[in-house]
Amino acid sequence: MSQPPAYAFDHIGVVVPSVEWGRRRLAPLWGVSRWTRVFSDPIHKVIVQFGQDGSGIVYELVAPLGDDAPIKQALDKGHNLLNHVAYRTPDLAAAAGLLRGQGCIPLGRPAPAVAFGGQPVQFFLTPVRIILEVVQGAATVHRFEHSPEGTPLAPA
Amino acid sequence: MKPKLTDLLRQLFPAAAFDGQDPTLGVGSFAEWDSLGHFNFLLLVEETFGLQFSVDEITELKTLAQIRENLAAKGVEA
Repeated sequence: MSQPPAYAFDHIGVVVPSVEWGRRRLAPLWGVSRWTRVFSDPIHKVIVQFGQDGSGIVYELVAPLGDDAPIKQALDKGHNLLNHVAYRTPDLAAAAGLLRGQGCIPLGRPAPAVAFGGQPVQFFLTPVRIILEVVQGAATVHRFEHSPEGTPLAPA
Repeated sequence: MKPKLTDLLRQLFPAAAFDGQDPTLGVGSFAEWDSLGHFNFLLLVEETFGLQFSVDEITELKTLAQIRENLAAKGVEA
């Protein structure tokens, strides 16, 4: 029997019209006070920013980059806005094989993600119809250095 | 008895109106059958018929006719 891969929770992805819009509305709602910088990703056609709440939960704001961004479908229809749950794993290929064996269907091939330093990510639709993102990487790469207003935070 | 692909379409998209005989019926034929709807449909097809599509097949299968042809090649009548 195959062993489950070493997963670590990374973030919850939320679709927003723009990261500024999302930051303004969700920062007070979820108590997110620490943000990463904004990443523009032409491969996935998204603009993203990660924020961390007081309990350590990380949210990813995902905004479309251009009118042909796939994520724009969710915005236009108002569906699937609480978009995905992401996990890190040191072996994406092994995790993908295991997920496939558990009935998850890949939404595409692994592709590098700017926000993860070019490490590949891959999305799956699970049998419970929730989207799962798997990120190649053993440790978190998020650096929360900005306030909700975008000003640099003092080093901890 | 296994359902037909058109039965699965009606199950997944109960509000959609479509012609099951239309050879072009596929992703984008009606509003609910968008890209995520298509992945939901392929997942339902896999679950119903107990098979798996390859990543290439997932990328290439865009119409009901293509999916039906693919299943036929796997020995599944749908």
